[in-house]
Amino acid sequence: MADVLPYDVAAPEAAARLAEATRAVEAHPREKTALLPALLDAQHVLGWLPRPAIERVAAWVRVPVSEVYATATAYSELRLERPDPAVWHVCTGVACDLAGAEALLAASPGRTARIDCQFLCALAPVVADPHERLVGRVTAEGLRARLGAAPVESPR
Amino acid sequence: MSIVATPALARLRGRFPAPASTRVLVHRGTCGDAVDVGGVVEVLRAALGTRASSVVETACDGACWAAPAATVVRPGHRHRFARLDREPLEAVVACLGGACEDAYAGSGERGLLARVGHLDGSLADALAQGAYLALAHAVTRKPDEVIEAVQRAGLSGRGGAHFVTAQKWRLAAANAGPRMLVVNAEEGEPGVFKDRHVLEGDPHRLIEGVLIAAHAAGIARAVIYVNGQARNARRAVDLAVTQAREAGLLDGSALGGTGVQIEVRSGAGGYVCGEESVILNSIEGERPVPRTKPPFATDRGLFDRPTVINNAETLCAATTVFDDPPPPTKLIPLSGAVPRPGLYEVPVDGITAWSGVLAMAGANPQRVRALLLGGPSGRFVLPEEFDVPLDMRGLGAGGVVVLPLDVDIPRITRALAAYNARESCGECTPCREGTPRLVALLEDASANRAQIDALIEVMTEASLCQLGGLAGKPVASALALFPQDFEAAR
Ligand SMILES: Cc1cc2nc3c(=O)[nH]c(=O)nc-3n(C[C@H](O)[C@H](O)[C@H](O)COP(=O)(O)O)c2cc1C
Ligand code: SF4
Ligand code: FES
Repeated sequence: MADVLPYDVAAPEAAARLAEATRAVEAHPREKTALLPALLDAQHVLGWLPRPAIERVAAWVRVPVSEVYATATAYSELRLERPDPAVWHVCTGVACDLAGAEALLAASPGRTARIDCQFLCALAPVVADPHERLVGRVTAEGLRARLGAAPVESPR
Repeated sequence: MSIVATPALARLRGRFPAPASTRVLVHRGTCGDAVDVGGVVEVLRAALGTRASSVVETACDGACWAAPAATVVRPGHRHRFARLDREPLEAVVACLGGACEDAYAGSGERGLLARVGHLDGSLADALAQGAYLALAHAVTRKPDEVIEAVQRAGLSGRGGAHFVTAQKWRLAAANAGPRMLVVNAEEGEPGVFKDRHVLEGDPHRLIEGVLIAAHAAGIARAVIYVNGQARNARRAVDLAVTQAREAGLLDGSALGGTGVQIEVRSGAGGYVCGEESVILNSIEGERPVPRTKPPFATDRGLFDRPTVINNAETLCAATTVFDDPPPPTKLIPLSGAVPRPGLYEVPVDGITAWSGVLAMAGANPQRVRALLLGGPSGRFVLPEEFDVPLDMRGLGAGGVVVLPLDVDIPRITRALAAYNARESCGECTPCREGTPRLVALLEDASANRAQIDALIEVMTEASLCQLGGLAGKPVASALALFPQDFEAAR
């Protein structure tokens, strides 16, 4: 995900962001096989998949909106809700659990959420920042320092 | 490999300048970036002064434990410096000037991993280090002979199900074309990080494997389906496909062979999305759920065409099967309670056992309670088994988490069961209803033992795909091996 705030329907630049996402969607062929690539590109621009983006994709690849929703909900990395730009995700997979993931969650209540294995198990414990950048061998102090250093990028 | 370059390969190599023989490889990539290797690169460049241009950014070489790390390469010499966040950089600078012994602490056998983390990202460098040598030979042989070589080497699927690769290629080749190849690099099994390392660190290995399979099975079109989170792997594969296309490797003009069209795609998560028929649906734009089989993909797969679906490691291993191949190897992503977690390439030679793997990772087997092999679809391995030679059939995708003596087995078992329940796609009843039920029964596993066994039997027998089919496996394994732990947890 790019270093931008998740798309906000009420923000002044909302129309421009949606137009950019639409351009990304319409760069794909108008075929059903482009469904997932188009959704991924829209999410890349917007940070998540608001209803208007789903509708753009549906119209472009000629698939009913309901079917696009059915598909989008099946992929864990597609986000149908606006992500909280202040929340860091703590991996609670087995290797990270052994390496103290619970202590990381306890050290930063309210600013962290659980997430499954991030496939960086050899550098456990692992957290993902709000831009999905992975940080390995995280300590509770290190996480608190990072949370303090990372400004919350929008009103919560 | 004893084989030497064909004239066509020699011509291809001759088109590129030879890469520098002396350099500092900084292992960047996903692992390095997660531990701020970027800072090390800057300090190193400054320390090297006029020789700063010898710094090459490359991927993790499998020694994830060593990150942030750099390897100094001089002719005939390699020396890796680990944990540069803790160690002074002067030693790296001195080594580049010639002052260090060859103390390469590699991560096991150097087969599929030979070039991983040792390339500068150019095709020239990959060629200089042996890429496309196997393809150059394969295309001088008839497709049948290539399949025969794959058969003789005993190559089997590395994606978990261990299907005989030569047979899969033959089944597809027997059907009328155009035929398809789908490369399964979705790698969504928790604890597994092998394919992304190879793709990130040596993407030409995969493309070479694709081209060998294409020649052998008469493939017209290949789709490489890469895990959506593995962005560095995706970027590396995209670049390598472009390089290979521009060099004439994909249309057969450089080395020979059939022309093949290669498309790269990203997945979007979900454990079940690594199941082969789900990938087919995903590529077609259908809902990502498993298909009923038959028809098998080799008869009617992607867009109803005969389709070979292979794991990325399987195709990479296809580059090692020619002329007196060494014993097969398996990539073992290893994490947990060990001093040197990372990606190991282990010979499956009838001799090597878990004790050898643990030794490579610096683990003392006496401090290990068990291994978790295969994550949420796997089982526990007790120390009694550590000296039994490894068998490819039992390795699955290869993911291992080393569990320490004080591990809370019931807690891990419940977590694995809960993971399967979350990841169930809901398409079939035994798994949709059974996986959450299993989680509930595990709240008092000792009391519910009979119900758990009965439920697992139904899920194993009646699930549509192996997510549900194997969801009971780690639970059954834990209950069989550690009954006292569950009794104590009541
Ligand atoms: C739930 C589930 C997840 C799977 N995930 C993967 C995966 O991430 N990568 C993979 O190569 N195979 C995965 N498989 C196995 C594939 O269905 C298939 O067997 C494999 O890609 C075949 O390639 P191979 O013969 O080269 O191993 C998965 C299977 C199941 C049931
Ligand atoms: S076994 Fe589970 S994941 Fe597989 S099809 Fe059935 S519900 Fe879906
Ligand atoms: S368990 Fe945390 S990255 Fe795999």
